[in-house]
Amino acid sequence: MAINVLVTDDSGVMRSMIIKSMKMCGMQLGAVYQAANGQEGLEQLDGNWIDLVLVDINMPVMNGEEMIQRMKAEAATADIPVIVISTEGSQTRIDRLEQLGVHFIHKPFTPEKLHEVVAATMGTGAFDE
Amino acid sequence: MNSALEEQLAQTAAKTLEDLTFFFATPERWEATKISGDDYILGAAFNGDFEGYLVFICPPLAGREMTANMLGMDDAESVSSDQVQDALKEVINIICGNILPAVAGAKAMFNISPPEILDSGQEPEFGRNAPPVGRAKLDLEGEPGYLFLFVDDPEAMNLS
Repeated sequence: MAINVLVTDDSGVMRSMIIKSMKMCGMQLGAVYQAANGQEGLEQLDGNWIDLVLVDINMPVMNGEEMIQRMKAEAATADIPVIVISTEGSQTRIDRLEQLGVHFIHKPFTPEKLHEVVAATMGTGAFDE
Repeated sequence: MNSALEEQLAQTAAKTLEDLTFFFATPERWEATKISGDDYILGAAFNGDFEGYLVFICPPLAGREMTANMLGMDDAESVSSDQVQDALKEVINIICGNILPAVAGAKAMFNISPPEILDSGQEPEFGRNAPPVGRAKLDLEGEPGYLFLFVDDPEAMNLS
């Protein structure tokens, strides 16, 4: 089953790395949408069918934590799985994010780690056999 | 300067560069900076349990090669300056995000501002009001790279 993904990170290079890592770890990708901040991410969610959101925390305009909170407050987006990929090192903040039901990947990450967390979030059906 | 902090800074930066950019960086004994006008100089402000600023100086060839590695490109010469700046902003953001909990503990909370490109000629204090609390020199495959950690109130760090 191909999954549509939204990658939200203010670094274009990091968005490319994340997309390349998803391909390397065998994810069955459908459409891949990109956004440079939380506001753009919400706009992408408003106009497209998205199965999985990957989001950074520290971004200008709207950070990832606020984007997730707004997603959870809207019925149309509340149940979309979210994986935070961030340099965040505070266990206090990571715990707070996980209480919102999101998974967490620490930067820098490996394709293997991405595979592990996506499989835990979406199931192994998200990957090529 | 606190030698344990400087060791932590150098090791964290070297590991981040290796894991993120697949580029080998080796901590070296500190000596006076040799900054070229072509070097990329980046700064990232942070606040939280304590406030401060991290500076990363990267020579252009190393910056291009790191960027090419991150993008999976074979030819570092075809990397644009904008791509290098974008990649190095992510590098300093991740170094900063890893060094702060290493220094302050996992329960500490920090907000890191979007990194910025600095003009050359601002060293050694890069517009800060006090000298750095830590600095590190890295051998970036034959070229020198530097890190400077500034903290507005060093006593808030509780360094031994």
